Amino acid sequence: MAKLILSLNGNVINQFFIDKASVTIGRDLGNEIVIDDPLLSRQHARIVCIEKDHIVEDLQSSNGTRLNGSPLKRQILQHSDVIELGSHHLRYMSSRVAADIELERTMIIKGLSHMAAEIAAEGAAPATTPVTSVPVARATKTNLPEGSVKVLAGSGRHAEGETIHLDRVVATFGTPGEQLIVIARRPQGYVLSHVEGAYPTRINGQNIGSAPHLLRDGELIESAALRLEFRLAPFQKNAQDSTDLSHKTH
Amino acid sequence: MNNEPFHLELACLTESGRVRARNEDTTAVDSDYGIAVVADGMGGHRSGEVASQMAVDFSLKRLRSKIIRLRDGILNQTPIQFANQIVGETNQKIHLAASQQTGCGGMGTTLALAIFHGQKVALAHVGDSRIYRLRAGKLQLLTRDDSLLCDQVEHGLIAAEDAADSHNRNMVTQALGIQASVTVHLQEEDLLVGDVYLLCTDGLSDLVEESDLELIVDALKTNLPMAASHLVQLANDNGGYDNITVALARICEPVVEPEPIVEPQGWLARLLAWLSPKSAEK
Repeated sequence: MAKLILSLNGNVINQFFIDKASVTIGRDLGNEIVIDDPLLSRQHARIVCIEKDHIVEDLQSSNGTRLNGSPLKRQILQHSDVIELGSHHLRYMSSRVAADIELERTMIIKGLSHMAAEIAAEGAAPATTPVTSVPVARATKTNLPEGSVKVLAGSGRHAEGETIHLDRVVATFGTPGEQLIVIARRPQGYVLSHVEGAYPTRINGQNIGSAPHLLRDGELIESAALRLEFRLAPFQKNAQDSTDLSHKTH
Repeated sequence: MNNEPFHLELACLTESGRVRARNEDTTAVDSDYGIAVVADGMGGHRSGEVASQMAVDFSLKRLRSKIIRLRDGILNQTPIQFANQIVGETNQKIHLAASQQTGCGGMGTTLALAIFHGQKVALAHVGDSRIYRLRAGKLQLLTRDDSLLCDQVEHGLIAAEDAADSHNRNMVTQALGIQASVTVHLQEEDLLVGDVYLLCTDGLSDLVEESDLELIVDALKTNLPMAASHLVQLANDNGGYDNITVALARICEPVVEPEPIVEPQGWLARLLAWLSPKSAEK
């Protein structure tokens, strides 16, 4: 169950549970949440409940609504968000935190088409073309390594002497369909694998076979005529530590 | 046996991920019949596994018998028609098992299915498992999720770029086995040499950006098992919150049987062959 805590100048004056599909906020007495504030419009904002989401939207109010200091049009509420209307603040408190995603299991529920009319937000422009691509969940922040390879010899796509920064999740070298190697960027480091080709992939002259190989700074990679020198930059964390140290010496 | 105009390469991989103890996903590919399928089961106890396994086993068995008759020219149905029929039957079978078997009440599963036949592929799906296609280096999502999140975005309730903040991430609006009937999403696409089809459960598509899916499939398409393992590995590196499943299919040039080299017979033929400019180059 989520609730809203109403405050004025830091003093809590009321609290409201969100227990309906739609909760309107404004100066008018017909609203679920009535706030007596001359800066508010009669119908100022509302909160729509869709399963586990509470979506707050400004109802084109004269003086506008802000969410955590930024102008609001429509936003999914997160625990501890502050909705600012006139001189008043509404703090959203929910036991549900977005980070819970790893603990939740897939559930079946009814689609929105049957209730579209009730919840269709005012002024909400339904996507004209079906939106099929919904972005991915926030990935956990991982500290990825920084590395590069220098081309010492022989590769069509890259010039000899060129340094290629390994900033994507994978980088391949060689010719697809003939002779190819891949370097994957992972939290624990860069991992080299032989993808295809009759010539073995070698590290400092040793055949790695079909097993993935965790690259170390300065290692020489060979695949047919291709020769790459791998360079691993020190972790950024260390770099930050060293700047901290330099501050302390002042 | 396979007289298709294209040669098909297939690979699939499923893992439980880094958080869940059990794997409720199931996947299979069949290169003889040109089928790729993934399913993401849900339900209490072990019923999620039961549902996804049933969906894959039953639909594969039924599809094979249809495809045999299609190839023999004695079936008056197109792949898209029998895909619709078979997914509907699969739904009924799981729905019935859910009501009869102990511990299976309420079980369900998503299903994403591709049938490659001739110049075309028939695609069918229910739930939030997805089908993408890589063509000329660009990855495109071909399916629309049966999910509340997708509904919310399409109704204009939330912006697509805010969807990652939603708490409604794992809510599907349809799955096999839940109700007596189901609406199967169907489509047919023309095949081109070089296309790669990617079928996956939300354990992959929720955790890996589309640009990274595109990069990995494009970079490693000449070794599909390795592409599959790199995709699963990245989903794990990004958290591995859910079971991760991927099936890949690459459309290749037909394998041309090399013409048998027949040595010319008789002394005159051998002499003429020896005199011809082609053999002189040897």
